[in-house]
Amino acid sequence: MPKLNQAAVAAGSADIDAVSGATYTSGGYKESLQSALDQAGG
Amino acid sequence: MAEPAEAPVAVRHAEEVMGTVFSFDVRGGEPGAVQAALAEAVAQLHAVDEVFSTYREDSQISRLARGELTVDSCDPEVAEVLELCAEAERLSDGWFSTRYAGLIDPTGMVKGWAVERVARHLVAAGASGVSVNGGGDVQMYGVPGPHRPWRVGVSDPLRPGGLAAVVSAAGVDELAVATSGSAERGTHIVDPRTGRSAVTDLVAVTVVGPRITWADAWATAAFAMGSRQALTWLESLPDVEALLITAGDEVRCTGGLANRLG
Repeated sequence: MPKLNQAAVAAGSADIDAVSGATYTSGGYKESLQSALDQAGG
Repeated sequence: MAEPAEAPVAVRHAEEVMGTVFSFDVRGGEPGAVQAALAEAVAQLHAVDEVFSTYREDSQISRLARGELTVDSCDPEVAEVLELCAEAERLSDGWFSTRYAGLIDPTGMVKGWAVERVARHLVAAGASGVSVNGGGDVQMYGVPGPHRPWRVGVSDPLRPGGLAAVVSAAGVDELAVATSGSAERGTHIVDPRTGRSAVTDLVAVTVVGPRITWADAWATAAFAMGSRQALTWLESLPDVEALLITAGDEVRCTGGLANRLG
């Protein structure tokens, strides 16, 4: 597992505003962390 | 509990456009002005898609590729983007390319350029914090609130739903985070030398810099290069840090990346 700032990226505790990753399709977005962030902040 | 009136209002929106979804998170500013600017930003994205989509037979870029239009007869944004493409091609020694199957195709530049453009539009409207995520390529300005910087999670390409790192905007007023990789749509990045899918040991390249227009182009070019050449090249670029993940789950970082994590 990539061991970068692992504490910060531990599941559920990452206090993030957006997610960068390979470009998703509109369908892929629905399963994405970004979609979860958008809905949580809605 | 009486919360001090210092947390700015957040306006969020997700818009399906350009085959992906753009997510907006806009803080502060005068609400009416911000809402109007957001509507304009969304309209701009759809207008950009109409002009630049290679999937639309009647887009200016398709007509340009067929020789039915000249650059001068297109909207001025076409010349602007093509100039950026030429610059990216030159600075990446041809690894960023706008030719696909012999036809002009600036798709690799358009999304990042559009993200930056609409994010700047929201800043100009008076927002104190702006985050625009165009399908995984993020541009942020200012701060989300008084007590913390913007923070961007980097998807772990080998563990869907997980994060490989978190990048912080602490200490900077502008932050761009772009990722190229094979996790979402398979290998879609073309090696400009062969015209075929890039043969690379990488599954993802994330580039951190001030402007998403360039971060996005550099991520695309670096992915096609493969890890060894990409790391050397990315280290040579000013104001750029990067995180590379190989198919073997190895992580390589530029020297200054650690200072941007948090």
